[in-house]
Amino acid sequence: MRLRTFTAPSISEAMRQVRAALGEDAVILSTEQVGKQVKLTAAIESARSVAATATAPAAGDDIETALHYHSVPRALADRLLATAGELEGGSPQQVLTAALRARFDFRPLTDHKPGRPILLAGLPGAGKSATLAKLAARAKVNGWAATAITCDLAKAGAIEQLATYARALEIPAYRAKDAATLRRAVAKTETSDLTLIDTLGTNPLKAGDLAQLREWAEAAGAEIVLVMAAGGDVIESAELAAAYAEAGATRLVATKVDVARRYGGILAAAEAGRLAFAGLGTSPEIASGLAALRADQLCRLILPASRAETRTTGASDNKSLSGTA
Amino acid sequence: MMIQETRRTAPTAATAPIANAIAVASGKGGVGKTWLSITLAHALANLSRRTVLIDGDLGLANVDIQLGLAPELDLADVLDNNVPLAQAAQRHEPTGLDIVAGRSGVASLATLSPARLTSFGRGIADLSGRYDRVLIDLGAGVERPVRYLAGAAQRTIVVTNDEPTSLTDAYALIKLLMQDGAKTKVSVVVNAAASKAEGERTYKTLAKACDTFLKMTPPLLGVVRRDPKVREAIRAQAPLLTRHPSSEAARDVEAIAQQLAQAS
Repeated sequence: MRLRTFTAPSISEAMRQVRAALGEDAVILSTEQVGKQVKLTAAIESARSVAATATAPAAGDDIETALHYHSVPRALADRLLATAGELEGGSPQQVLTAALRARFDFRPLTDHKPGRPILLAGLPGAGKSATLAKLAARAKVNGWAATAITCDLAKAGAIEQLATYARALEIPAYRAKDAATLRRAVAKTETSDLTLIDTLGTNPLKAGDLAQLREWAEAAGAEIVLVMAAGGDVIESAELAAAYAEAGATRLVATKVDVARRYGGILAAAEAGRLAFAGLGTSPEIASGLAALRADQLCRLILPASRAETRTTGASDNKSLSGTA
Repeated sequence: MMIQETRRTAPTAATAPIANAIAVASGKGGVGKTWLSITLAHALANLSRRTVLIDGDLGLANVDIQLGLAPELDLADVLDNNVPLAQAAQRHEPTGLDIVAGRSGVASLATLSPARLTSFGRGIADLSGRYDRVLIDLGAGVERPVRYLAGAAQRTIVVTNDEPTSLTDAYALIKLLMQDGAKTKVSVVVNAAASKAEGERTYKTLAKACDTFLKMTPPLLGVVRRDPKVREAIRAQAPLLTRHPSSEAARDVEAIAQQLAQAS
């Protein structure tokens, strides 16, 4: 609602001001005689009042339509639009990028050597093992020494999968059956610039699973990074992220964006769990399929500059190595 | 609103609202919400209602400052260290109130995770069994913690004054509570009104906006007249009802407390 008061010598003059400022749809909320003047309070309820008044209307409308399309939760969309509204002009892409930057944290995993191991957690099939391989590949490109550890001894072929990745990437790999072995495995990785820990898919609805995740993370002294597939239900994604955040997760890698169309779920997840965006799985390609997720990239997912540009791609052009997971 | 009516991510009270809890909210800061919470709680205590005041103004707390308290435990201990609310509730002898103080400048409190917010809500529900009335002084704004705590209380008092920004924010809060599907009963208090008639006029402006755009009209709970004795009492860190018991503002708040003491 946009509410304004108008003072004029006559009611007709005040009404003229209301129509000029708020348009034909304005509703008069109260009228009052103040001395010889008429004071009139009027309001209008429209999408525009929530969206930018400082931005060009087209920009506000485009962003709003895009957020709607992606089923971004209303409260979050309102906040993004309100932030966008405070920004000065620019293209819809520039405004949304700035609003996303203001509302979310972006800390790509591949920007700096993390000070501690990275433990990848998430639902079964979220893409944890592939993300591990992609991160290891990025580490190679950066010239970092990477190590892989898997705690996923339950899934058929999990060890073989890791071994295959590790051989191809020429990095040491370990397996750990419990927190104690994980602690010992991590102790062997002192010279590693990036120690990546794969876990078996957790069920965040089971307290036991989250407790185990926490125990592993503590044993390894690791940061928990949530790996979540894009395109999931908005509420579900938010609740999952909140549960993983309770267990200690601080960052989010969104995977499978190439097979999703709507990204409200990952926005809701990042907000609900207060997770920083850390990476974006853009294709099954191990060498090129992980992009550092920054505000401009997230904006391009939500609001492509043109119809032609509907997907982001990874930064590397080395596609000789491909994964299947 | 053009944004699709998607389902919520903010937790809402899954169970029925807490029957004897009253949330005091405002949308906009600086409308006298904290002062009104304290004075209302004090008036309820004077009516022999066992009353606890929770400074839920997460992030910018000041109930303890207005009352000159030096709390040993506060809300940060409850939220961060799992101290039970009952243990953090401190008796304030001059008013006969129990008070759970907030903590200023702890920004993280304003952005509690949904899980911790839910557990805080449960804590309030547990505490409510010990009292006749639980008052929650909510933070300004319309963010998730504010709406969640409002939704957990049987009643929410939305405080406004006659400034357009205050009215707009009060309206926004009411609208979001409705859209959340919050089961709390919303009513309006106009604070710092030049006169009863002016206060009622301010209420009617807000009510007309709600009626026109939301198709609902929150009732007027009361008008509190502007009174220089309020400012004087706040400066002296003394409760208005003790310092100026017969002032206009004191009588206005007492009239509101009478309704809250009787209503179930």
